Amino acid sequence: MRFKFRFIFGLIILTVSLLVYPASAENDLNFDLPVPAGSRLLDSKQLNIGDRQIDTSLFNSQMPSASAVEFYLDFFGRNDFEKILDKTYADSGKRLLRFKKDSLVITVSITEKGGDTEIVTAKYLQGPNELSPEETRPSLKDSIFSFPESDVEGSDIPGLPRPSPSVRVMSVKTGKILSAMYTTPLDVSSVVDFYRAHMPDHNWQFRGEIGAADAAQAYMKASGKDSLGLKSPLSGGEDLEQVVKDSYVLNFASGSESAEIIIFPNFSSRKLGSIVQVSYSQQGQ
Amino acid sequence: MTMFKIFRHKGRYNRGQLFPYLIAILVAVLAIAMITVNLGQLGIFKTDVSNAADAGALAGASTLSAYLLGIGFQSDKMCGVMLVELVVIILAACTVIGIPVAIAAYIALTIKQYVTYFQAMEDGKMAWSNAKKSALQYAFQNAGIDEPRPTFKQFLSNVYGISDPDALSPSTIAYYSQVYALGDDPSQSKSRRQAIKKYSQTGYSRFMEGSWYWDEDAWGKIRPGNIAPAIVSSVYGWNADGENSFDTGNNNTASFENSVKVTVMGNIMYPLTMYNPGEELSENLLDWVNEKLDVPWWLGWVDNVVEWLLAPVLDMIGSLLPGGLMMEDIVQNTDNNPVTVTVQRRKQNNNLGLWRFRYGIVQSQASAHTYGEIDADGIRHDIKPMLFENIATFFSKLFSGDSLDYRWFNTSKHLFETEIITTR
Repeated sequence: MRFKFRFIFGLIILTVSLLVYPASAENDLNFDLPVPAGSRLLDSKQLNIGDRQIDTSLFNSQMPSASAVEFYLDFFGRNDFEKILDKTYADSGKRLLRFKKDSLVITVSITEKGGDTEIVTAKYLQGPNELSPEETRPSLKDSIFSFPESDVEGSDIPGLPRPSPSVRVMSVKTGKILSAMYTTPLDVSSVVDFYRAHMPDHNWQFRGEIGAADAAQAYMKASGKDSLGLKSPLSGGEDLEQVVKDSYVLNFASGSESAEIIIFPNFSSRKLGSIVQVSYSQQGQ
Repeated sequence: MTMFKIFRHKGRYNRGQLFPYLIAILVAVLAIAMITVNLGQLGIFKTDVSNAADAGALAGASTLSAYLLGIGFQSDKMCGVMLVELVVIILAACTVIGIPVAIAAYIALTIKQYVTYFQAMEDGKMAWSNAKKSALQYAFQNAGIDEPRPTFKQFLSNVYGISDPDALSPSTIAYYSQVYALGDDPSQSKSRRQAIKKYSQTGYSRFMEGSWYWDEDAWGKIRPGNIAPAIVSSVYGWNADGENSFDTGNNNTASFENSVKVTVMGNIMYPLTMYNPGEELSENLLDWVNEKLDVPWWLGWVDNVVEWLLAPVLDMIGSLLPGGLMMEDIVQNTDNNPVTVTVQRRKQNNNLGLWRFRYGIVQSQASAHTYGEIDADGIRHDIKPMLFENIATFFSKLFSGDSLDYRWFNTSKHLFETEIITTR
């Protein structure tokens, strides 16, 4: 009797598991997406956009792009996926296929490149009433919008110190002006203090400091407007208007050379510190 | 018959009877001469006052025109900075992963431009203060102030206590006359040097030299951001014997025989706004982005990267792109915004013995403005950035890396003229 009960209970569990399995498979990012024979995984990256995780992979295949397309159309067709997008891009020849089954959305991008085929796959979950990632306003908190975590190519400006710790996120020469931009965990006032204290060590003389709050105030008063008109492009960050108002510009000179330091709170989040842009120019250059 | 009678009567006149008539004629001629001379003096007096008002008003307007030219150059510079930075912003955004750096560069540009705007506004306040000061200076300089300089004898007596200059040796006289001419002797003590300065120059000279006509305590120093009142007024009084309001510190100029009062009226600042070419450029922003777009592979699954990720950034740039300075209604703020100078010259009545001539108060007023002329191309001179080409065309070339070895801005379009518009 006891064995019989156990047997029946086991059967019920097995039946429920078998019934549930196909559905749970299409609600899970672990869905095993096949690739055409001979394809090689080059890279994979996990993106976090909004509350959603998107798993992306890059493959290189020897299979002609048309055959790769056929491969995926056949696979998804056989597995009862609904094709929700099929688009060919005229400029690049890229074919973009998107399939959906239950909550699982899989996108495959197939492009012919130099005789090979480049395949990009992406998997994410999208509930019945949820918007797709592309329908969601991008946010500064999305992983695609992070500042570099180590110095980018280029160089610091000789004779212009940088706060420590800091990461160089930009280095550029525009016309006759050399500029570099850094992110630093230090807050705005600490960075202002840093430059006021350390620039004289590099033979720079302090010429002036202006808080942008005064500038913003003067503008709003003269124009009769109640804001500067700054529009934040991405959701989730700081109020750009306030970021500008909380910034400082320091000016230094050394003979015919001049340096301008612009310091403002990190607009992704003030908790991350501040951003500094240093510019150097020489008169008569 | 009548003629005969006359000759008969004339024949009865005694010798010397003509004299009273001659005296009467002489007095009349003298009176007419005095009237003519005094009317001439009054004419010079009025001309001085009128010249002073004109010179003051023109000097004020010229100061403003110099400021507007400077602000035009600043505006061009801001536009140049914006164009160059915009290349960096768009190129960074085109990599998609560079969007945060593009936003940071955009914020830095915005801060830089608003700070420059602020400095231009502060300079604009100073320009109006400076215009009023220049107007006062030129009006006083041209008001025909005829205060007598202390004589060499007075100088020797007051500074050195020398009552008999004739007793001095030629070399000593040469030394003192040099000090008198220069108005200073650095080898002397501080108090002696002050005395030299005081007794070798008129109070008026020192009044002008030290800019005492500008009441710094009441109207502020001439420096960026300081706003002088809309109406400033300064007065200088003096007597024929050299006593003056500068040395006596007496503001009651009615107690002096002569006085000049200059009143300057004008605006306090220029209402600058920001030139925003964002809207002008926004039509082309998408084209420029598509030209350089470099999507990372891990966004290969996205249908339209530009629309999803870059459009918000382009929208931000399109809605606000601080690219120079401008004035909303330039005609109202320049042509119709004059500096007005009123000069009052008072001279006490002059007793010439035979006739007490009355000068009283003579007043003159002049208004001058600075204005942007309309050139042969029909373009009104302005402070707005004046590129040689359409801004979008220009940026396209800059963005494509074309060599821009020609001048970017037509700076001559920032020239402002000055003229007197009314005199009374």
